[in-house]
Amino acid sequence: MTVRKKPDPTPPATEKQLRAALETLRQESAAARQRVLRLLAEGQNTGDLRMEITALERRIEDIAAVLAALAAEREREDAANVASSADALATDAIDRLEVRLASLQPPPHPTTKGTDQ
Amino acid sequence: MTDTIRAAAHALAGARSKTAGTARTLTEAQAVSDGFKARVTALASERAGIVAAARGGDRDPTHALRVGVIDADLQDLAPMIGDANAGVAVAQAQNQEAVQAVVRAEQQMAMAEAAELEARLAAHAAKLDALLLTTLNELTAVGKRVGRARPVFMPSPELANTLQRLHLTATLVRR
Repeated sequence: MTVRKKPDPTPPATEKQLRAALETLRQESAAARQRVLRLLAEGQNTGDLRMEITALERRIEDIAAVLAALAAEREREDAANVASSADALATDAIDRLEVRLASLQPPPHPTTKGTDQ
Repeated sequence: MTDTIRAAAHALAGARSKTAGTARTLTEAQAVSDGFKARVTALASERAGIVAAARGGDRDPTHALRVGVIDADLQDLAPMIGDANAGVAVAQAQNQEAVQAVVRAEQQMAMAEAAELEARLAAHAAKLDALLLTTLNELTAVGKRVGRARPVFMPSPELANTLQRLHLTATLVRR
């Protein structure tokens, strides 16, 4: 029996691709609006074109929302990375201080019995 | 006190993260500018080739049209190159500012670390002061018990001088 390999899922669009798509849709929407004005001037029906514009605007809103979510996620990741780096830097600095001070500790009092005796 | 170190570390990490972003933006802006420059170089080279061929006697009628198109392309590219160069200049300025902010944050971090070390060393020296005084008092007492006339311990000249200098300086500062 042959096992059919499942097709790889489509990889999600990158932010760059989404931005490009958003720009294209905005241009299409602007061009459609111009066409609406022309049709109005010519006294023709604009219904279909207006529906097309509405659909374009919905897609623009959807992509803009995805981009906003991606930006928020990136901001969260950046903040987490900064916090983690800051923690590492501070820990290193404090460790250095403690090592320095540990080297300056006085010897035990001569009458104090060592724990190994 | 370690709060100062933590705040300085946070500022430094933030500044380094920002620099990574501005460096990326600068690389991208330079790539765009380089792309335009390469396009101009290619067009100029093609134009020079056509001109050289025409001078050599080549009378291809399509060449004149191609030269016209190249000139139009070069003309259209000029403002785009100007914008790209302006973009590079802005990115460079932002990156330079971010790099300087990192340098300042590194200095603040070093200062915070030094201030913390100073505070801890001062506290440590105060403890040693008390410990040495107690030890010397005990040494005197035990010396009396064994009938010792001469001291068996004296501070090193370096320590004695340093302590005296510190004491005098502190007294002068208090005045």
